[in-house]
Amino acid sequence: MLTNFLIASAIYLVVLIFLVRRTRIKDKTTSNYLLGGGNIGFVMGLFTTAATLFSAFTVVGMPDFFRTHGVGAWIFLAVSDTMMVYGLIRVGEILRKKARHLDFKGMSGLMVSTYDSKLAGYVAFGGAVVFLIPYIAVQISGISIFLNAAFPDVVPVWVWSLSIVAVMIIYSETGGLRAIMYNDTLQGIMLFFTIWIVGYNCIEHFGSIESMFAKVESVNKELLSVPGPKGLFSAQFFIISALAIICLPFTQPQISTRVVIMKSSSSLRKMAIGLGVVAILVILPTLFMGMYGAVLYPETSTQDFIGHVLLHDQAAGIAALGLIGLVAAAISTSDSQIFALGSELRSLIHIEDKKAISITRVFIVVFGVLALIFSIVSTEHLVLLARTSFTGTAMMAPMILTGILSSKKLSLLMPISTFAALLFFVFSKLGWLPSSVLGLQMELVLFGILVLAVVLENLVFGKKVRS
Amino acid sequence: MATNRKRSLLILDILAGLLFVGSFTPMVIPMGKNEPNFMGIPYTMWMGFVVSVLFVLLAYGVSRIQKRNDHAD
Repeated sequence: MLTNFLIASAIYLVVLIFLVRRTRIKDKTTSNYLLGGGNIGFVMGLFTTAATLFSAFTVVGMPDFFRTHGVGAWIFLAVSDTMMVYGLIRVGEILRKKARHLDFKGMSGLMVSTYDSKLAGYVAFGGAVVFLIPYIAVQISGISIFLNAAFPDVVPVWVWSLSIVAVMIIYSETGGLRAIMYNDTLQGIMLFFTIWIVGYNCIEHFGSIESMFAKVESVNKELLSVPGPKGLFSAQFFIISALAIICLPFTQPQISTRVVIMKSSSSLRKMAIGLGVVAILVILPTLFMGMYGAVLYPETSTQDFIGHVLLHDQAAGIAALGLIGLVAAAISTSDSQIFALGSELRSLIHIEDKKAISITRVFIVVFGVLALIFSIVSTEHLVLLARTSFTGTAMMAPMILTGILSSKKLSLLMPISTFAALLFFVFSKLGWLPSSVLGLQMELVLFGILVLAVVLENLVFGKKVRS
Repeated sequence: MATNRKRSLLILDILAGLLFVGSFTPMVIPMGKNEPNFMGIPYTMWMGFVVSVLFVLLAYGVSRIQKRNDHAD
């Protein structure tokens, strides 16, 4: 097994080196280094966005979600993702227009321009840093722990983490966004085929989809309906998740950058439709893996279950591919996020381009090192921030969408209320404030207040038409 | 022509809005019920699948309408 994994890793690294040599940029500028030169076609746009979106969480977390909480997990992610596609195709075009008009370098910079206030940019940047770095750290730590379990006593966990972060930083620093997008495409194809092979093997174990569900029903009927055996899937849970996921293309800078740099509106439209189809096709095999686990490994830990479904119950070659696919998924999501944080910082710096790029590259390393440190000394609070990462960044959506969609001169109401909402959200997650108000979860309450702020901004505060 | 496009987009937005709201009602997620199933697939699963496909189709509809619109390029 170790030999197979090492061979697969070596091939993966050789391909990465080949790609980075092809995309290496000597004279780095914001346009060619941070924005990949723009001009991204539909196929690469689709794969890079899908790979950024479907992280290692999809491969590890979704089968486990289906196994533990049942078929409602489909509503949680697949339905929300396709809702997101609709939002993307409706608002993406307006974002692109605004981005071109205001010389887009990052969402934070765009917020400074649209609100004519640095505070809006700092809130967008701060929100991204607070929620994305713990997410990256927890992802790296999860994969490292998994590798350590697959190959015990080979190297300590922190060496796995260090290796992943080192590959990520060297690769991003050398090739920039275009190299990352090539890696995403490679990872996307690899992951897609691997999980479908594993998913197919899971169905084959039962003989058919029908007998698979029949067997699950005999083991635990509650898995076949909501709210699931542990009562997680309430309507409120689904609504909060859907709102967070629908907002992703605008609140997660790694995705909004990809929307802006698409070659044409036609490419964006094809990419968005393709993303919806890919979401369904990627999540479907994780359902099969989850149902397989619900029957064969209902009581084991996540790590043991994934170890079985992805590695021990598969042929050696598929297992090695699965493992390297998992590492590649973690790398491609994390390097996109770290790189996006760099781009966000760049968009807030108003100095000569070459200097700004140098500073950004230093900070990409800093963000990577921070993620590495947090992945090694992962605390309960960090895990909490990572788990609530999508919902947390969604708090910025009303401010960002108002900035994108409004043609009025905007006041500071949205940046200030968003900053307050982010604080309330974090404090409520830490247990310093209540988690619900009048039976409504805090996320929904805060989102409702922010929507009210949007109405006030449009009707009361932001009346002057932008000249 | 532009008015027709706007009207078509409005219709799709209304349909998407209704589908969004409907997704969180017992129509799609009846609590504790897995019947009626379809070819052995539990209700919430196949209904959820249909909803996902409908959202992609609605997005495709928007893309067809926007095709001839002025855009950022």
